[in-house]
Amino acid sequence: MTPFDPAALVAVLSAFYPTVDVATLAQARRARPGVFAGGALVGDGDRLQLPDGRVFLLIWQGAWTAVGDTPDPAAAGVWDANRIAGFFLTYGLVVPESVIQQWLGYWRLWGWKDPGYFLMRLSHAQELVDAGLATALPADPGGDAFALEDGPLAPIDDSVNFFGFGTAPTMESIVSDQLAPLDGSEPQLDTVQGTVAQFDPAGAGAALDDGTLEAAGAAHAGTVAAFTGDSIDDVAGATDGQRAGATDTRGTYDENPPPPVSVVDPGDPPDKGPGSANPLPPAA
Amino acid sequence: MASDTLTMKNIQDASVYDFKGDRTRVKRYTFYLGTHGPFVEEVPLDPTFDEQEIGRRIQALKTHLMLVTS
Repeated sequence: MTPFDPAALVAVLSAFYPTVDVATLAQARRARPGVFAGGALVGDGDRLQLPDGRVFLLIWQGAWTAVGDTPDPAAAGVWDANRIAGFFLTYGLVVPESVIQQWLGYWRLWGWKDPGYFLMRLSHAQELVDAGLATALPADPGGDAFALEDGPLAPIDDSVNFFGFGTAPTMESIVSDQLAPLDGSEPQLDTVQGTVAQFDPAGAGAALDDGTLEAAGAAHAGTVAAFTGDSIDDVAGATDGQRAGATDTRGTYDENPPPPVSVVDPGDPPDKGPGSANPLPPAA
Repeated sequence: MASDTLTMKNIQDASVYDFKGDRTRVKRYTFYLGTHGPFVEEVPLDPTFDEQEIGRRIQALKTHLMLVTS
């Protein structure tokens, strides 16, 4: 695919197609597809969209020398391959491609047959206003122009008992009832806390040193004095003769086995009763 | 390169068919005018081939190309 050459396309259209309209453009597209670089005629048929997305305006309808001019309906169009972006650049606008596509959408929406409206919108472009070439749009009156009104329905009153089910205890009342017995716990905690704060562990330890520990020391000294003179060898020697008197449980079992016990005869089984030929009389 | 410099790339006989399937024999010229192109022009061979036709087309293209690029 050869690259698109706008100048070559305009030269071909101008040289061989004196009638400037959409039908002629379509005919040129069929007869000389190479110069269109594989593009498609889009919109009203007066724009060429290339496979890479670029859009070229091929029919320049009328002649506008300044923004806001009214197009002459009788003026014949001319062939042009001015890219849509070139239209904005003509008026000193530098806008991104996204804005161009957006305005191109407006252009399609309003229709090529009424370009004045498009130019009216363009005449309020901020860039033109800043350059002193156009007037700004009227100021926003402010406020919400589409504020909602009060509807015919009113919110439901939750306090009204519509169905007569009575008033069940709420979660708040249940929790407050459970917390009621704990109302007096705070002074108790304060008392315990004060007691702990008043406890003097140093004084308590001093009292133990003075009284109880001295008595314990004296008792321990008495116990030690009672053991004075005893020898651990003497205590162990006292058990020397006890080994012979202890029962030797590690010897062979030499006792006679017990006599065998006879099995008791259980006797004959009980009588099965009379047979079916001689049944018992019915119970009274 | 000036836009009126003709560079002929290819000349060949070909056939084109219209929407009814009717065949038309043509002589196909592929050329450049300066850096612009390629231009592809098809001059009919039937009923009579006009050797001056491609020259007139090239001259028309040169004129309008100069107007466009000037």
